[in-house]
Amino acid sequence: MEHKDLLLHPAEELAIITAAQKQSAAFHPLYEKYAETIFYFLYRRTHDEDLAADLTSQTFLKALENIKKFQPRGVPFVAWLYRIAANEANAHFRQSKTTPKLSLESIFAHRIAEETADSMTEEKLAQLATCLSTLNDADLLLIQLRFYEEKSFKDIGFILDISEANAKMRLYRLLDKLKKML
Amino acid sequence: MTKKVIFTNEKPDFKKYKKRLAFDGLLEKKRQKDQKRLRWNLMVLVLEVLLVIAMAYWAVNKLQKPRTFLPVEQEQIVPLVEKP
Repeated sequence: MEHKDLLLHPAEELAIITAAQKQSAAFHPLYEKYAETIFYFLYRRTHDEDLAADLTSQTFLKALENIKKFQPRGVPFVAWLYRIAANEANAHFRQSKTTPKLSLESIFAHRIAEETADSMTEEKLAQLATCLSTLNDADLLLIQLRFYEEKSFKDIGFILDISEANAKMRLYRLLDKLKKML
Repeated sequence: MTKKVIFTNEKPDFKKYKKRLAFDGLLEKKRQKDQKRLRWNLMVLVLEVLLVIAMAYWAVNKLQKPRTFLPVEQEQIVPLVEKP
């Protein structure tokens, strides 16, 4: 996970959101806190630094335009940002008619390995990459959100616009599928 | 559709993009977008007003103009009283 320079208490964050809903300039602390997180999320989804930077900018522009619509309903503000970022990335792939290329840190691959295999050797890692490549876009996003962004099932449900139970069920089915493939 | 997953430990340096992703730039982009939207809304409003004026003008003209009849040929006029 990325280092956050700014530590905001949830109540403090809520106060900033309320202020940002009235005045755009008040959005600054939220931007400082989450820009890096969203940038790396988009980099993992695109494997392209420049594209990730562009999509980060678009994500925050959309967030700034729609912050008045944001209502905290038990999900953190960053989950809302993830949702916008995922939609922006999907829209980009649809428009450019390109396929997503996921760039995942191998040092965190053990998180998937713990669920699917006993140990993670170089050979197993290559095999895992091949298996993951066969999954569809939505499933890959689910894997990324759970094992790389370390999101809770509640947050994943919100980001993917599905229920928490559905997110859990889908992930366990996916891991079962991967286990059989490995 | 083929998707690729790469496992790597190389990570871009976010600091490189700090300037490009500066908050001031984001605010400026939003301001430009807001201005563009405002201009568009204003244009739509002007067009709507012009349309309403045109429709009102047409309606008033149509109501005020006397009814016009087709010219009647002389032969078709039948004298009411026959000549002795």
